[in-house]
Amino acid sequence: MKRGLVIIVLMLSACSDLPVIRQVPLSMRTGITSTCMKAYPGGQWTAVHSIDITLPGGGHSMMLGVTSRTAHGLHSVLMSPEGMVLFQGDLTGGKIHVQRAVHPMDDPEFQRRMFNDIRRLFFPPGQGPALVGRAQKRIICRWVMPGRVVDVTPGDPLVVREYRHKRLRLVIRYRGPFKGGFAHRMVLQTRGLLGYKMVFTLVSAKGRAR
Amino acid sequence: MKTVKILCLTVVLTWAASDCAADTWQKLRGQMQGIRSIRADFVQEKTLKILQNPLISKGIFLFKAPDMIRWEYKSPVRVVSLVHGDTVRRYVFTEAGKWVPDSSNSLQAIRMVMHRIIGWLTGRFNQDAMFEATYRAGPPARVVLTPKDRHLSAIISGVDLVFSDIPGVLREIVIREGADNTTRIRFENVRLNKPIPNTRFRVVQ
Repeated sequence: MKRGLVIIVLMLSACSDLPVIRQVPLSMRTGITSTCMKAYPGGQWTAVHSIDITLPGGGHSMMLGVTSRTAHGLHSVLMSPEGMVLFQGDLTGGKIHVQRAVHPMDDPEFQRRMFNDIRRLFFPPGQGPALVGRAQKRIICRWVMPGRVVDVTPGDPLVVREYRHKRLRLVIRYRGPFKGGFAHRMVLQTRGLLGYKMVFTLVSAKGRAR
Repeated sequence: MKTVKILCLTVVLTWAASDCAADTWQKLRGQMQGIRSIRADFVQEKTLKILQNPLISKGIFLFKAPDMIRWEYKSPVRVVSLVHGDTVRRYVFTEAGKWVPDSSNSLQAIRMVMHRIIGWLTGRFNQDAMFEATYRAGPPARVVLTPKDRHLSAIISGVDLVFSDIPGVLREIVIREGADNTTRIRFENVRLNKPIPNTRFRVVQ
C-alpha cells in the first residue's frame, strides 16, 4: 500500500515536462538570444511553402501556402496543388478578415487555429526571452506567458517547444539552410488525441529586413 | 410595321446563330473525338495579387479515351489524381518518401473537376450542367465556360479552353477565380494517339 502511494507520488511529480533552467551570465544573454531569434524573419515579406499535413488519425493531405507580412498585418492564402484558393484572409489588429473560405476552412475556429500556427512559425512569442540558460544539456531561451511557456533551443534543427501548464503541447523544428531568414523546412507537431503534424517546405520568399 | 420587321430579323438571326453554333460544336466534337490518347507536360502558373511572380507548378498529363486521366504534379508538390472510369483516386507523396492516399475532403471536388475535363477533352462542351459554353473563333480559338450556378460562380468566375494549331487539341486552360486570381495551365510537348498502358491510370508508380 505504502509502495503504491510512493509510486503515485513519483508519477505525479514527474508530470511536468518543463525543464528547470540554470541561467547563463548576463554577458552571454544577447548572443544566445540572437541565435534563438534566427527562426523568425523580421520586416515585411512574402513566402510560399508546400505543406504536407498529417491529420489526426494519420491521414495525409498536401497544400500550398502563401503567407505575407505587411505593415498592416498578416495575409494568408491556402491553395490546393491545382491552384484552387481554399482560404484567403488577413489578420489585422488581432481580428481575422476572411476574403474567401471553402468548407471546412469556413469554420472560424479553424481560421483562428490556423493563424495561431502561422504566428508560432514566423513570430517570436514576445519581445525578448524572460530567461536564457541551460537545461538538459541544451541552451534555452524561455518566454513565459500566463499558462504558457515557450522554449527555443538554437541549432540545426532549431527547436521550439511550447508547454501549457508545464506539459509539452507543441514542437516546431526549423531545418536549414536559412535563405533570406527562412528555414528550408519547418515541422510543426502538436501533441494529444487530436495531434497533427505539418511539414512546411520553402518554395520561394521575397522581401525581408534584418 | 418597322417593329415587326426588326422582330423577324432578330428571329432569323437567332435561328441562324444557333444553327451555326450547333455546327461549331459538332465540328469541334468531331475533331476531339479523333484523339484517342494525349501525353503532355504541363506548366501551371498561379497568379495572385499577393505574389510578385506567378507560382509555377509542373507535371505530366495523360489522357486515354474515353474516360482515363492521370494528372500528376511533380513540383513543388508531388500529388497525382488518377481517373479510370468512375474510379477516382488521389495520392500525395509525403516527406517520408512514400505515396499515400489523400485523406482530405477534396476527392469529391477532384472527381467533379476530372469528369468535367474528360467532357471537355471529348468535345462535350455544350452538354455541361454546370457551365454555359461559348465558342470564340479567335485566333486562337477558344471555348469560354461560364458557371450557370451562382454558388459555383462565387468560386470560379470562368474557364477558358484555348486551342492549339492542331485541330481539337487544347493549348491551355485558364481558370479565373476572381480579380487577380487566375490559374493558367499550359500544355507542352503534346503527343497524340500513342499507346499508354491502362495501369498508368490505376497505379500511382
